[in-house]
Amino acid sequence: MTVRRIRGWGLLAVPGILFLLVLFGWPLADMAILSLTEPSPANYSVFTESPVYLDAYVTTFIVAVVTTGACLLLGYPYAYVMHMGGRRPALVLGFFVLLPFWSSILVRTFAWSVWLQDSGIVNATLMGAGIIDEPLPLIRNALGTTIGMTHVLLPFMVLSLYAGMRRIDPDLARAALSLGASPLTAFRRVFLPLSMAGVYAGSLIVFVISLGFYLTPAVLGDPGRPLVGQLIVEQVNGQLELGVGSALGVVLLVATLAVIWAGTRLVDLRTVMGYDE
Amino acid sequence: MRDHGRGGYRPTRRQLLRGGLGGAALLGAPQLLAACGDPGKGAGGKAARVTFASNGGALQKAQEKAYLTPYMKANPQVKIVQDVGSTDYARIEAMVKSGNVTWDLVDVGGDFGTGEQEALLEPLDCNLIACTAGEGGSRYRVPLHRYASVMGYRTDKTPNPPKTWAEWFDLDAYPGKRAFFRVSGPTGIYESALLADGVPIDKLFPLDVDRAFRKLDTIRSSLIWAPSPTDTVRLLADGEVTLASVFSSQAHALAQDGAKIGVVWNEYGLGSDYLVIPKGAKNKDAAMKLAAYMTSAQNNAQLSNIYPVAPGHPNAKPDPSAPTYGFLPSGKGGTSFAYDSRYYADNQKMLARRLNEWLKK
Repeated sequence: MTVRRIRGWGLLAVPGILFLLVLFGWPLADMAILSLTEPSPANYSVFTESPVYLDAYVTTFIVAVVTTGACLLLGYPYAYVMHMGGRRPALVLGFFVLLPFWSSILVRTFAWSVWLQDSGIVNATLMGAGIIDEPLPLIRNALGTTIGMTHVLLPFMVLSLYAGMRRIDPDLARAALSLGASPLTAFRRVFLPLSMAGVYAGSLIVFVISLGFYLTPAVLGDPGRPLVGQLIVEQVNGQLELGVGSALGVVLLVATLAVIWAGTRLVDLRTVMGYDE
Repeated sequence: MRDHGRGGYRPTRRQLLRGGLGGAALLGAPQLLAACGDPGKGAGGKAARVTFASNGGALQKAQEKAYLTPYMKANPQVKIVQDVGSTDYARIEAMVKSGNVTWDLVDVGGDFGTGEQEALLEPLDCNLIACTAGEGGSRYRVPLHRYASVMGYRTDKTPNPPKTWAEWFDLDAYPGKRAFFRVSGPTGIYESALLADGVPIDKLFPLDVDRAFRKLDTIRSSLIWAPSPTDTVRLLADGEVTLASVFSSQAHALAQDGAKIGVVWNEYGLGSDYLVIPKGAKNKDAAMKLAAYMTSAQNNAQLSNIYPVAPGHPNAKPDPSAPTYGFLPSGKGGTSFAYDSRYYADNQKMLARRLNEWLKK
């Protein structure tokens, strides 16, 4: 039906598909080949040589889940106000959510270190006010990483949620109210279920981007618990081990696909893509 | 080890890409970047062109001023093009292996250019270039300049700074945190621990890594691992740490900006940067001549007069009246040791693994 009608227009997607194949598909295939041939499939044996690598995957996935959760908790109310507040607040809030995109991730991450370090603004203020005696451990641990990554990724969550909420017919909640539902019930039984498509889409995007983070955990995170991205950089740039770096990348890719696949057992991917009729 | 003694915070561009987009997809990028490069002109014609790659930031600006501009003035037929990212050794490897070499002369760290990496490099013309005059030089790499990792301290908070690494490791004498650059390469982590533990300065190599980590264990909870060399100095300037192991050049940069940071010239480590020519460089003859100019006894010290690194050539003499002189790792009293770049090249995998495992404990 819908699909058939747009067939002639499918040609428009060809440049995009070619672009992805050449600049994404080919390097990805190259990476998989490198992991097996540079010098040999023995690259994958790094996992048995040191517990550091496997642990990094566990840390990476935990951080990704926590970051996704934090983005959702902060992003949902934000997107809800954007959606419900009318045109002007939506514009203002939308502007502020996009603002971070215009400054470098490097600058933002270092700005966080200025806030969070022991002699930083937060700890200095709290200690100056006599609220705490010892600085709070806000940096060089999982908390620092999560704060920094949530800040970077929040826009992706908010925009996904907002896009999902805009698709919801406002009359449905009104209908619920006119049939005697309390505002809370109308939200819980009507709006929230309908907004789940945006929740899944935003969570998926934030989760997947989280898995490849490098800079934020390097600056704000626990040096003893590197994420996979940091180990890949160490292999490729530090030690010229393109093969081992590729192997780490392939495993991350496979693990990510496995998680997404497991996710689709719980959530229909078509919901995420917005094909729910 | 990557960003020794260098200018700005080097990983910016790369980290931006990796941070925002995820590392996996970008591992193929070096080949693509190489493929987009300028093919340059052959060295056969009269006009020559050399692509010089260094590490960007303050160091490369100083190199331009000290070497490249005077060279082009003296040799108007030569055009020097610059690129950055020279210590992304993966790029050199990718260029050579893909047969599309866009760099002719490259400033690399001491952890590159020995052993099997020689296969990625053109042999130098040692009649033209003083290949082996300086520390760690060979047929494949010529010493360009030397940097030092030293004890750094706050001049206002530590009026009586530690004179030895043993004192630096003494938490009773100097309470507070200490910063190291978190990298397994030649930046002094193991050497300072071994010196603090009583190993004679001329017996550091091969490193007793177990002993170094046992000594580091004693101050583990007081250590802060900085993500970049610049950060070791910044942590000092911010008052986040009391002491740090720093590169003297970066301490100099912040001290110039008014930070109250001093360095101790004793038991300091000396590492070198080298010039190499990637195998298959399109303008290797012109690159060879430029390398000879930059590393000669008479020209090599020009950089030291404007940027605080010591010459790689032992007979090159920096100007004692230059403002950088106090931070130069040459002509100082106190003891020093040279990082054994061959040892680091042979053991970098083991060192990286050991450091990761130790940090994880």
